[in-house]
Amino acid sequence: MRVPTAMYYQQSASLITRLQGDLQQTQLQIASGRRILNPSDDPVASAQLSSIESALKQNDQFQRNSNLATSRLSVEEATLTDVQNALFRVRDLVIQANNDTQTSESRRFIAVEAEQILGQLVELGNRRDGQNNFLFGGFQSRTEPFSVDNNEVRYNGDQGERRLQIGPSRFVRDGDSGAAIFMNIPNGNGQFVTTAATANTGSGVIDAGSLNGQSTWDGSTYEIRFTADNAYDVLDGGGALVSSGSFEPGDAIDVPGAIVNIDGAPAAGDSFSLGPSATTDIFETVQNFVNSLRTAVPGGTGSAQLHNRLNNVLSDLDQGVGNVLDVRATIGSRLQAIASQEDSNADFDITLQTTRSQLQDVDYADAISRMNLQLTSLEAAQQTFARIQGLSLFDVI
Amino acid sequence: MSILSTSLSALRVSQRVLETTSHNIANVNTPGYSRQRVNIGTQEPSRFGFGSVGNGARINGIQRIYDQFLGAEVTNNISEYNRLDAFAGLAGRLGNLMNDPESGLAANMQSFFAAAADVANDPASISAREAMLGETRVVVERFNQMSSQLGALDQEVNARIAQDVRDIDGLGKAIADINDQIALAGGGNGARQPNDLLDKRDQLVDELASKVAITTSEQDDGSLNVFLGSGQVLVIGGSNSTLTTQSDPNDPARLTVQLGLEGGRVDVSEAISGGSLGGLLDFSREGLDTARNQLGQIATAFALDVNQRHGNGMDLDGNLGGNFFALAGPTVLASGNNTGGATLTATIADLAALDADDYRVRFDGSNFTVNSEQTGASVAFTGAGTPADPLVFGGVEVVVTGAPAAGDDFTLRPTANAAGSLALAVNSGREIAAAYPVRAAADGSNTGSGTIQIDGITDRADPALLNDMEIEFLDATTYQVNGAGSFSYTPGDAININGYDVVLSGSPQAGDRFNVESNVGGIGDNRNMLGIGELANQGLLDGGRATLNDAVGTLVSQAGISGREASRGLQAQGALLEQSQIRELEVSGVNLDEEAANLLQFQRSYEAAAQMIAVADSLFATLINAVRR
Repeated sequence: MRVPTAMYYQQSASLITRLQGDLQQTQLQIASGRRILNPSDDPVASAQLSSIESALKQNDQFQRNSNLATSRLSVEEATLTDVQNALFRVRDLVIQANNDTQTSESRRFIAVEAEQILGQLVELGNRRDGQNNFLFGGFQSRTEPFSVDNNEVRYNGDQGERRLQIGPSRFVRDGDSGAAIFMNIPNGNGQFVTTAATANTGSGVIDAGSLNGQSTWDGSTYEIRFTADNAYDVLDGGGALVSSGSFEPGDAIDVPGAIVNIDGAPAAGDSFSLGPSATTDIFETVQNFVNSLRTAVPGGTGSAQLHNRLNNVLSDLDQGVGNVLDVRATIGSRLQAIASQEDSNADFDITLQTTRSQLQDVDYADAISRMNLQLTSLEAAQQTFARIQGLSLFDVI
Repeated sequence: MSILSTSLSALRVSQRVLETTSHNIANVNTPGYSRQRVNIGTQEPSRFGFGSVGNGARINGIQRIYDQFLGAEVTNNISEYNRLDAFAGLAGRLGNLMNDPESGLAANMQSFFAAAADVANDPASISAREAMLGETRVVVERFNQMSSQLGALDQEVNARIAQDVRDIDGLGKAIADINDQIALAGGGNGARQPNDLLDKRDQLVDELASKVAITTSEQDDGSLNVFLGSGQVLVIGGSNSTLTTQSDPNDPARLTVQLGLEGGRVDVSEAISGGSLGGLLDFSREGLDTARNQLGQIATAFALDVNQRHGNGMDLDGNLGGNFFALAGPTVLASGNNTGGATLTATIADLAALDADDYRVRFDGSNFTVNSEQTGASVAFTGAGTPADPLVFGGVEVVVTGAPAAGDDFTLRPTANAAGSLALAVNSGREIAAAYPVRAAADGSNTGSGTIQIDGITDRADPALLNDMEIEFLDATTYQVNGAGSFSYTPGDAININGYDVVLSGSPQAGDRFNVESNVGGIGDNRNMLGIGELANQGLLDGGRATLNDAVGTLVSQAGISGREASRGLQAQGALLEQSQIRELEVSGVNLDEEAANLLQFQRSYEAAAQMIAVADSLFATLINAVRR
């Protein structure tokens, strides 16, 4: 093989240049810790990396949403605990006021405290979160949800409930509207409501009653009318006789589908009625309590009337407390759902980061041994070039 | 007495050889130089009765050592190498431009959706809304910037095409000139070869081949004819055809290559292949247009889908959402050669059906035909082109106004301008429509367990959209709307009223009422923003198969892969080229040691010849001295 002189130089130079380029690539990989220096080094992995970055970002966002939902639900939970405690206090007051040892004066004191608690409840209903949004206004987060007008509390919000996305297909409500917590609460025992006629002259007191042999109240109305102080008729909504019986104080009275207890001594002509529950709200219930105490008349009939009204208040109040407890239970389950989603998001985050690292990070053992090899070849190429280019026939002639 | 003349011939021969050797040594580093060799022969002998006496040496010619087959191989390899070199360089830059995992398009769009989620988290917050506008500006800028970078790349490609065409034209002329000189100097064959001119021409041919693929044929007079691509004449003997660039009649922004022949100019853009010009034309057609259209496709789907959802919402001030983004629609270019008066108007009709192709719409006198610009394949379409029945293909609707003439051409670019023209259309955070325009509620006195929900906005233009609406149950299974009608109730079914879907579920009782009203003041509502956020993970493109993220992934990996393929091809071709150059050099290159040996050899023979003259001289002297007395 003839080796033209210029070719020898050219080839050696291009070989050394190529080795230097390879070496620099390896050196940069080691210095930066990255296998892919330019996207063109590995376009497919680069595209994958770009979608992994997106997924990581999205996952981060889910975690932020989760944190936000957790903090909002915690604020709501704390507020509802306050609401619940206030209602418990009202319940204590109702029981206290229902006691016959109370005088009109002591009942007035109780009414004052109950009224204060009512104000506190309105305030709790109008509580704001850290961003100055009302917690319980529904979508109308900048409109005060509850306003008092002539002793009546009105709800100005709506029933909107906001959802936050905490996972690829998982949404969680970050609150509840005031309507769901304070308003639209069935009165009575939740199925039907018992009332004593205001014209009653005896001292009969009816309790809230309970369902008997059916799961929901069928919506009918019944009247228990005393024909004598120890006998009664049960009439249906149309006034037709359903049954009749004799009465001893404290007896359970069977009405189709329900059992009620009447205590005390009803007089002939007194009547008690059962009807399907209507809706009330927590504020109205407390206001009813206050009104009952304010309008109480002393004496046997008056006292029975007060007991009947306070019994109604008590059952309404229990419905309200039950509703708050239900909402708190859903908050608890929502918080749990968020926690489990946060865990799975965190796992996914680790998976993504591992994949990212596998795609873009350099394998140091491999890179360093490759660099040693490249260094050796470069040194060898330089040394042989120096040796061989020194040989020329012109040197010896 | 021929010793003297014989010795003189030896002196002359040695002198010429030494001169040639020094010429070789002088040109050891001259690119394209082929080493030269002196062909030495014997002089005609003097004939006598007893036989012939030699008369010394003479020079038969000075030959360049060159293998034309090896030369042709190098020429071919140069063309392919330079095509790949031009393509790979540009495609690699395109790939890097498209793909930057941290600051790239995918990351920017993700930031947009993250900001949308922040607004959904706290719709009443002005700062979250302004932050979303900020992120949107970043995405818009990114699209604009990528589009302008593609535009800059396009301009660069055009400039390089023009430069290459000028270079090719100049080289053609230079080869024609040198052809003349070679023919004058005595042609390619025989003893009088103009070696250095041939070397120079070979070098010009290689340089030409690096610009464009050529075929050559050598003529008897030593001149070389050069043909382009599929046989178009560039050089014949001492004359050359001019090569120029000219704007494409179908698209003034694009260049065509025109070859000047006797009958006029011919567009040879399609015929040209190979060389850096071929690489540039390939890149312009395959790499750049596809990337720009895909980018535009993503921008279009992103902007129009967000606009559609945003328009269904209500902003902080109780107004229905406007357009979130503004962007240019499809472009239609009428060919400069059209003779009819028709104009075409195109609109995007179906985002999922939209693709990254450009289309050529042609009127043949009675019918339209549609072909893909990229693949050339015929495209099926429906419609007649009237406003009532537009031409529909590839997700666009085309309406023809005016009368086209037979042979008229229109180029349709559905998405080419989308990315560059994308702009934010919302001016302030308050205008972001995060809420639904209506809200639903169950009446407070309801006794049943029925619930109501707005399932989605179906027609924001419905005049009754914001009116109060009431559904009242007549009994547990039938309801009336706004006090009229009687409809049977199926729990969970969507009911479409006033431009929205409402879903009732649970068991309502007779007399239960459900209301829908305008959501003015519902500033804590995030339902519409959640809908916008869902776009991040929905199949918006490619018939619903690809999410925005997928589409960006396809775009960057395609751009990257074509660059990668080209650079792999370039490496392989580089090795081939080097091998063929080495083989050529092995034959033609100068080796200094060889020349040193020649130098010594002919120095010695020169000395010997000179010695012969001294011997002849002394022979003369002997003879003269012998006969003096």
